[in-house]
Parts: sequence; structure tokens; C-alpha cells
Amino acid sequence: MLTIAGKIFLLLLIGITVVAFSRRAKFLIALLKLGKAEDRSDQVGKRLKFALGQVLPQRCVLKHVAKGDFAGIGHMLLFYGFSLFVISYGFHIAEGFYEKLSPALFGRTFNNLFFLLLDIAGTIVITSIVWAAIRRYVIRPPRLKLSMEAGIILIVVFSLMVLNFLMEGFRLLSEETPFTAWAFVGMALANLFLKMGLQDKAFVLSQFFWWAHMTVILGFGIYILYSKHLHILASHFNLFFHSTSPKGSLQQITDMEEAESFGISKITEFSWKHLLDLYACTECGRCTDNCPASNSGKRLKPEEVIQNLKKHLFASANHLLAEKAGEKQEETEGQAMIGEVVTEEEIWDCTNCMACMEICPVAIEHVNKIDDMRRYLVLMESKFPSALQTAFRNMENNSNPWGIGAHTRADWAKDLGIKTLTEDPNVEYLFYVGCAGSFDDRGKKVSVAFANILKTAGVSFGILGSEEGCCGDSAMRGGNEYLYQIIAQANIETMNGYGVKKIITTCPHGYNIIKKDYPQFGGKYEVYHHTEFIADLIDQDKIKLKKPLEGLFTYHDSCFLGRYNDIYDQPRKILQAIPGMKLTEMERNHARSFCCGAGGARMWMEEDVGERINDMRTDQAIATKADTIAVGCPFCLTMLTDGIKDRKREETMTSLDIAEIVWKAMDM
Amino acid sequence: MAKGVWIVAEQRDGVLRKISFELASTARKLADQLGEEVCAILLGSGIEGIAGELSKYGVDKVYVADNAALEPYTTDAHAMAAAKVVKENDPSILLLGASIQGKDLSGRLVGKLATGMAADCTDVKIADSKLLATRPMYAGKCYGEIVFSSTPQMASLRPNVFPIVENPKAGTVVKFDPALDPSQLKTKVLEVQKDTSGKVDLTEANFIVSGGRGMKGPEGYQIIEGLADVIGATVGASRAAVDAGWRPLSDQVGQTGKVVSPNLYIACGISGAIQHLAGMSSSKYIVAVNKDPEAPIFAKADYGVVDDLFKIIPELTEACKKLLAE
Repeated sequence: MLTIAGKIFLLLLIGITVVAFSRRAKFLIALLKLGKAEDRSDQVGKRLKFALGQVLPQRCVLKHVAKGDFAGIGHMLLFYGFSLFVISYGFHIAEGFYEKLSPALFGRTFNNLFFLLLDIAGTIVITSIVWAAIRRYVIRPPRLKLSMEAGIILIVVFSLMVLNFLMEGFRLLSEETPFTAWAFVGMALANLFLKMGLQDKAFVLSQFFWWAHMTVILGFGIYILYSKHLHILASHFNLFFHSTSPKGSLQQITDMEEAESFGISKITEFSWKHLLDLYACTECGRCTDNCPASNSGKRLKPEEVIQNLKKHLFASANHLLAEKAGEKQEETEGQAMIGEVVTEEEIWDCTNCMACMEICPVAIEHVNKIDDMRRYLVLMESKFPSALQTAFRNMENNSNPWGIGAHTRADWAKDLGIKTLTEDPNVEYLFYVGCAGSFDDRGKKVSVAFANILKTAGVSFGILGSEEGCCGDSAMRGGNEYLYQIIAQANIETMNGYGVKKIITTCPHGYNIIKKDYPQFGGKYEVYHHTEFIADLIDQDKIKLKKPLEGLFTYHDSCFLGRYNDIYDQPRKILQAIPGMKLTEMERNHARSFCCGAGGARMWMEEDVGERINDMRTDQAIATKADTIAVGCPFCLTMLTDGIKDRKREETMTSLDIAEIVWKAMDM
Repeated sequence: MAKGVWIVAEQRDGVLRKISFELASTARKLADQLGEEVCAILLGSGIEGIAGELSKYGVDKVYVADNAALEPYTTDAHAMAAAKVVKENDPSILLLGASIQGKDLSGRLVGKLATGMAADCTDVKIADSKLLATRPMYAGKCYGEIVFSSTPQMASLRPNVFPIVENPKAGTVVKFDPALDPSQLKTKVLEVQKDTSGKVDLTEANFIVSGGRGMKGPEGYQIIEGLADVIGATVGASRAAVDAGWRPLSDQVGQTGKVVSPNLYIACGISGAIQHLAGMSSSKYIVAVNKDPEAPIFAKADYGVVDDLFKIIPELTEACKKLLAE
């Protein structure tokens, strides 16, 4: 227990901390409130479960340990170790005011156990810190940037541990009845100090280190809010307020007719949750490490986008807060968010593959921010890559990005005897073919194969024929929300007109947008990707895969099927149902799959900076020595076919859609 | 009562452009049906001498404004001068070219005359003594027929569609004062920079010879350039060839490159992936040379040769050379 003066001094220290902490916290919350309103208060139970489920078992950082992301283990050790210390600080302070408020309050065993654990934790934390320092300053993985803040935290946490042990050691030495018997590090130190003849000074020194300890921890409490370690507090909230809308859907612009501006060009146009994202980021760099644009030498680095937005928010904070308070502002030329903080190149480099969001431990929504900035560029400034103009115009005129006559949409099905819904609206399933399946010669082969499978299995299905329109994925992800909404509404009107209930697509882009974005316009259907559907047909024994297929296969997970829709198993299950199937995995598979480069409307743009993403993915497939790359997406099919040609492997390697492979194995 | 079929002639550097003769010939045809005169407006500086050429194609009267402020072309000055002479003479029909200059001028002019206009017409005729204009709509999916409720009945004609017919007339030249108000001339041409490469841009080319992955390397393009030189074509490339660094990006034809519609497109060693077809399938005649008979380009081609292009193209070049020499 402290003396009266000590108590007053401790109160003073705590007072300073509380004042400094709450001033900063108030400021940070005021900044969040600059953002647009967005309701994230629904499903509280589900949110809580998700956040706790991520934080307590440290799933957020451990989910990719199996894939070689060992930094997560270090984080976990630090997290548990440090959490225990936070509890011990509570005891320390309480004990300072009233000596009975120590762990001994809960009994001798608890007390001993507590200090044993604390010593174990301290040892682990010190080890982790040393490991982190070695990793950061010696090994230097590319995803980590050297920053002063990172160095400060390592030093602070390290010294907290050291101070704690010193205090413990001297305290044990000074007390007649030691407060604990199991604090092995403390005991060892006490013995050491005894040998050094410090017994006389033990009490003074234990007091000294106690105060040093308290000062550092309270100072650290303030520092958290002023540094990137804001993450320690913000990430919990960010996980709690994570998006509960369907994974990968974009928030539609609702007031297309009345709105005066579209998309986002100013930091305050983001919703408060998107600003909270900026607080939660701790520069771990996992997003950039997994981004196909970054990996292929493009300018986009998702982590930098988030960090630069954060810096921009803080740099313009005073100005914005004063503006909100209605104070007159001298016109200051702040940085333009688009162009200076985030460049147009970065915005257009994104393939919307969602690798960043998948890996992010704290549920930051990168892609939504980028697509919202695209919307601004397209709808307000009409500034976008010229090649995209061609695609937009073609979608407007002929409802397909290539601009091929809309009336030829159903030509692929001419000789197959497939009915359109006009001819028979009572079919069970609508086969929504999509643009690639309708117009691209390569895609048409997939459509024919899948239609043949459906016919063989006796599925009752029809197509829309020339009434079908582009799904609008490239328009939406290319920032042309206006065009997308026209397209989506037209399709929904047609499909609802026929009373369509169940839809099958062969393209994950159509699958994703119809399933997740069309409901916002009243298009509510049961949607299946053809790999899901074929897997079911095999399960139900409706089709027989009898012909063994030669060679080695590898399956490429399309972003819009895998990460967007968690369909990883069905395509593999289908392949494994084929007799004699030899299937191998690329190094990047499932949720860590590498984009083909065509998502996010990149299919329609030039890729002239750095390496071509499709070539990189092809190289990853070549490394498996497979001779067939199986895919479930027409964009991936095009990109990988091109990659195979670029790598001059046409003679020995091919890429095929799952439907084509299945039809081959059915041997009809 | 409005009377007369008028045209706005186009000249550049003192030479009448082809569209002027197309306009004159078309106006003559319409005027004959109406029993009216054909008048042309000719604007520029030092151009009086070329006014007579228009009479060869059926123009009765050429209204010439010869003024330094009308050269080089600016929208302000030309619209002001043309509007003045049209208002003074009240013609019943006024035709312009849907050329770059004509498209630029017609918008301003139609505003000044407070009338209506049919843009980019592919046919004009007289029905019930009134102009009936036909223009493609929805990217050529259908045609709209336009009649006018005010005069002059204004239409711009798509270049290279209307025939040129000689029909010499005596032709008088009427000089008029454009009465340009300098305070109203808001644009001033400081400098004209011309493309000196002499190469016709891909999007404007009449003939294109394009090479793809089948060219095997940048050297392969020599034979394509040889053929292009002989027939006066512009060289294009597929994305594969551009990506491989064999040709500059400006040569790229396709979805993400240039969208072209020449009269003749010769595709050499191009398989015809949809991304390429999207950039050239509106060409009038497509000729494909490819070793692979399964190449999708053959489905789009009017003429196809399944053979080695390194053999065929030199032969074709020689044959063209001979044919052109005759």
C-alpha cells in the first residue's frame, strides 16, 4: 500500500492519463462522426459472436498459419500475454490504494497461479518481442515497412516486461513473507540480487521499479490512441461492425434520380465504418502481400491506400471539424483525395479479387472503397480508361461488352433444341447463359457442354434467348452504376415476368451479382453456379462419369466463386468423381487463390504496367506440372488460355471449364 | 416562302473536300425534283477561285465570303457567316456534311437558325415536296425517317455514302459580307499542328493489314508492311503481338485497342478471339490468312486462306503489285 503522498501522486498520474485518453478518444469519435451515416447496429448477437470469435481464439491472425503465415502465432502470444498483464495492472493499482485488493484476495493458490502465469506470460512476451524485432529488422519480410511507431512499441512492451520482472525480483527480496512462491523469474532475480548484495536497497528499488512501471504503462495507454496502435482498441469495434451484407456485394446507389453527386471523392463521403477501418489498420501488410496488382508490379498497394486515407483524414481533421461546427474557414488547398491521396491508377489497378479483404485480420473493406471512388470517377468526372468506354457503350447498345449484335445471343443454342422461356415458361430452372457463354466462341463451347449435361440428366430448363441481357457485373465494378442499374432492372423485369425462381449460371460474375446484388432491385431467386449444380447431379446419380481422363489436372479457384461465394469443394468433388482423376493443387489455392486478372472490369482494360497477372497465374499452374487447368469461369478461361499461349505451352497444356471436362467424362 | 436547296461546302487549305461534291450532287437531285435552285455557301480566305468547281456538280449559285477571319476554320466565325447568309435568303433545305467540321458547325448553326436537324443521314429524298431524311439509330440496328416542321429543313450527310454526279451549270458567284463582329469571335486559332507521319490513322483507314501471334516476331511484320505499302493500307496488330512488344500499342485493334471498320481488313496469323473480333468485325470485307482451319476468325471472314502466311502474303503482295501496275 502506498503512502498518502504516493496515493495522491498515483491519482494524479491516473488523472492525467484519463484526461489525455478521453480528449483523444473524443477527437477520434468526432472524426468518425464526420463520415456518412450507415446502419451497422443490426444483428447485435451475430456481430458480437463474430468479433469475439475472431479476437478471443485469435482466429483473425491464425486463420492462415497453415499457409505459412507464422506471424499470427507471435501475435497470439503477445495478445494473451499482454492481456494477462493488463489484468495485473488492475491489481497493482488497486493494491496501491488498499492492500487487500491483490490476487491473494482469491486465495493463496490463485495468487500463486496468477503470478506463475504472469511470469510465463512475461517470458513469452519477451521472446515474442525479440522474435518480432529480429523479423522486422533482420529478416525483413517485404510486407512489413520499417516505421518509428513499430520500434517504439517494441521497446515499450519490452521495457514493461523487464520493469515488471525487476520490480518482482526486488519485492520478493524485500518482503519477509514473499507475496508469491511460484514466480520463477522473480525468484531467480531475487536470488541474483541477493548475491549482488542488494538486499538493503531491495525495498527502495522495488518501489522505484513499481513507479517506473506504472508511469510507462499509463503513458502507453495514452500513446495507443496517438499511434498506429490505435489498432489495439479500434480493431475490436471494427470486427463488431463488420459488414453483414452478402459477402462481396456493393451498396447500390439508391437515389439515382435525385442525387447531386455519385460515388466518393471526399474523405467525409465515406461512412463512419469506412473511417473506422482506417483506425483499425495496423500496417500488417497482409493485404498488399496477397494483392495480385501489387504482386505484378502495379501501383496499387491496398495497405497504402488505407494508410494514406488515414493520414489524409488526420491531416484535414481540424479543418473538417471546424467546418462542421459552422466556423468560417479560410479556403485551404488541402490534398485532393482522388489524385493526390489515392491516385487514379491505383483505383483502376484493382481486380476486385477480394484477396485483401479475405486476409485482413480486422475486417477492413478495401474493395468497396475503391469501387466507390470508381463510381465518382465514372459518374461525375467521366474519367476512366478509354478501353472501358468501348465496353460500356457496347453494353448499352447490345447488352454485351463486345458489342456483338444482341439478336445473335441465342445462336449457340440453335441446333440443341433448347426452349426459351417464351416457348415454355413452366421449366424449373432458367439457364442464365451470360455474355461469354453466348457470344465468345470459347464460352459457347462451355454453354453447349453444360446444356448437354442438363439434357442428359433430364433437368427441366430453358433460356431467355435474345431476351437475356448482360448481367452488368463489369458495369457495376467498373463504376458505371447508372448503366448497371438499367441493365439489372431490365433483366429482373424479364425474369420476374416469366416467374423465374431458380437460376443456374456458368459464370461466377453473373452468379454473384444475380444472387447478391439483384435482390436490391427486387430480383430474388435461388441461384446456382453450374459447379454446384453438377456436383448435385453427380450426388443424385443423375449423370455418370464413366470415361477416365488422362493427365494431371489442377483447379484454379475463381475469385467470384471462391472468395466471394465460398465455393471451393464442389468443383474439386466433381473432378475427383471422374475415374482415374489425378488432381494437384497450385501453391495458392482456395481462399488464397491468385486472381486471373480479369475481375473488377479489368477484363476490358489494358494491362500495361508490370507483369501480366494471367501470366503469373499460368506460371503457378505450370509449376504443378499439370497439363489441364480446370476452371469454372469464362473470364478465367480466357485469361489462362492467353497465359498458356504467352508461355508457349499450347502444345502441352490446356485450360477447360468444369462442364467441358464433365461432358468429356460422360462420354456420350 | 422558303425556296432553294442549299449546301455548306467544305474546303481545307484552298482545296474543296470530297464531301462538298457529295453535298452538291445530292442537292442537285433534290432541287430538280422541286424545280428549285442549288446554292452553296463557301467560307474561307483566298478561296474565290475554287467556287467555280462546285458548279461542275450542279450548283447554280455560290455565296462566297472571303475574309481573313474565316481562315482557319473556327466554329464562331463560320456559324455567324453561314447563319447570316441563310437568314437573308431563306432556303427551304440546308445540307451539311457529317464530317468532323460539319458536325462541329451544324450544332451551332441549327441553334442560330432555330430550326430542326437530322444528323448523320444515309439517305435524303423529297416526299410531298418536303425533305425526308433517313438516319441510322441505335448503332445501326434500325433506321429512322425524319420529316421537318420548320425551315430550313436541315440535314447532315454521312461522308462516303452519297454518290458524286457531274452536272455542269453556268454557276454564278455571289460575294457577301459575313459581317463578323470581332467581339463575338471567342476562339482564336494559335497554331495548327499536323500529323506528319503521313500514315492514315487506323480508325480512318480504308484498308488495314493486321498481324497477330502467328507473325512469330517483329521481323515478320516486314512482309505485312510490304503488302500494306502496295495496296495503301495501314498496319494493325492483335493484342498478342502488342503485348509481345512486336508492335506499338497505337497499332492494337480490338476490345481494348482501336475499334476499326475499314472496307478491307486482312487478318494475318490472327486466330480471332472475341476480344479481337470486337474491334474489327464491322469491317466491310474481312480476309483471313491462318494455318489453323479451326481458327474462329474464319467464321467472320468473307475470304479465308488456310496456309502459311509467310508464303501467302508475299505472293499476294506480288499479285497486287501486278494488278495495280496494269
